[in-house]
Amino acid sequence: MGLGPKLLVAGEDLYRQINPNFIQEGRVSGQAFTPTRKDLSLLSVDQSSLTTAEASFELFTTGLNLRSAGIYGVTVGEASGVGLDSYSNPLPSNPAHAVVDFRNLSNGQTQNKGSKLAAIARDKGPKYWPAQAVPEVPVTISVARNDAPLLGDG
Amino acid sequence: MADQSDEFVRPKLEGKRFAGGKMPVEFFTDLLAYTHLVSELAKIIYCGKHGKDRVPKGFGGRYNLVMTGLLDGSAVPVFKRDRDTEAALLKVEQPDEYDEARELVSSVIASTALPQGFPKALLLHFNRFGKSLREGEAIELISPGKTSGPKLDREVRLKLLTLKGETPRYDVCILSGKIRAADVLDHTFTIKLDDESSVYGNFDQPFNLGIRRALLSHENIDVKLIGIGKYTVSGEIEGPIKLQHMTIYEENLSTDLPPFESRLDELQRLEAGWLDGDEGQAVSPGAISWSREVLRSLVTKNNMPSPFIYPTTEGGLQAEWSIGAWEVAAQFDVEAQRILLRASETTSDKYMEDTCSGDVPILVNGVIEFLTQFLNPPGSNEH
Repeated sequence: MGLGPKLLVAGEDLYRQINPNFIQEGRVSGQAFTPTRKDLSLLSVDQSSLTTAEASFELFTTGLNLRSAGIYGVTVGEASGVGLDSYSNPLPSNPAHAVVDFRNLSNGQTQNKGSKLAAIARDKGPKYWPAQAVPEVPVTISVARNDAPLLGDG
Repeated sequence: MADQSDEFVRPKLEGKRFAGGKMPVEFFTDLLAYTHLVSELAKIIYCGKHGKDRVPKGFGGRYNLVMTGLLDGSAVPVFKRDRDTEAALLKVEQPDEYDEARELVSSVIASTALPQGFPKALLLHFNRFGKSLREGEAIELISPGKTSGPKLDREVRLKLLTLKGETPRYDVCILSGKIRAADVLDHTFTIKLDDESSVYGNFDQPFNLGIRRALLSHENIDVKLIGIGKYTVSGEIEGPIKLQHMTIYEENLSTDLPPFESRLDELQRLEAGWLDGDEGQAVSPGAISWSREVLRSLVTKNNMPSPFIYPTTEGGLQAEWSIGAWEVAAQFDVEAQRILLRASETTSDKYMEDTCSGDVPILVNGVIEFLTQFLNPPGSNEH
């Protein structure tokens, strides 16, 4: 895949759509920042210099009819900090599109860096989150607990 | 034999807790750290004096400290050097390197500075020595023939650790106690620990209702919290901690947050194509029931923290824990009856991976073993 120029502005936000199944009670999974097989090791994001988090969400959900619970993000510098370069990759349907490059990494390295990006994004909180997307889940699950030691025999 | 023993030091414990000659057993750890410090320093002194790289055989046998009891009326253990051993019977000059080491340690405590001949690296022994001291308490090191000596208290210990060049560190913390205050708008809480001290912290959305419930019924509810906390140079936890996992104990019931049972029910309803329409296989009922069996054993029976659970694009499940600075994931592969374990430290390049396979008890033990290394890292404190 031919990529555009490497992104160099360290403070630029890279917006990532969060699939509703990759968030549990407000906690984003490491998988949300890890490319899937279909992605060919390039994680899709949108550049904050070319769009807003809200516009990015609207284009993805309304324009492209795909599912997103909201937007989390890391900066170009934060991605670089875990050893990942980012490139401009405008698409006809989305001129703000860019990618974080996971190519030439082993599966373990990919998972490692993806979970680190997710942890960084989690710490910063959502960039855009529609209010109705986060229902409060009542605490209802109580179970009798064995008096087992911390390290039991399973 | 008592008459062949020489008094070495009297570490006098000062404070209300020691009234009536009582010495809490936790102070054995502090006193042991002191004896190790003196022992290591004595070896360094010997090598320096004699231009050697190591001490001669039997050198350690000269030390051979024994505690002969507490003096009447106050908590003053008396440490003597037991001469009733072959090594100790060897003729040595008095005072020897151990006596010099004792005086040098006393000098460090008295001056809260590094005297010549005291290696900075040995200050690490003050991580343990004096750790059990509370506000208003001190250990006075009285040398033979003297009636008083330098006092180690919390302030002196902190100065010595600061001298070592340590800075506060962030690490996993496990806290047990009761939620005594919370601000649900600011997402902050205060937990009163079992030792009556309090620590404040921050919580995210997954713990909102759990914190509220624990606060409202705090008289009947105990909690165990796992999070990342800031530790002072003297190893004490201070706020704010960031909450990562939580268990609520109410009579003989417990609630784990995040709740894994209801999450599995939810994921069982996922349909194929859940990820952008063209990716994301449905999670099979077999994968759900197998994962449930593993997680029940792991969390409910073995008290491991309850994980967050997500589907994988291949139709499996991934359990995730944030434990201190570590991001830990367990990928459940029902077809292979295997769990792939991975952990990344967010503050470094450290990455660990392991696989366990077999029947459920074997898998559970494998996951416990993997998780435990992050729940009990070297140097961490459980309060």
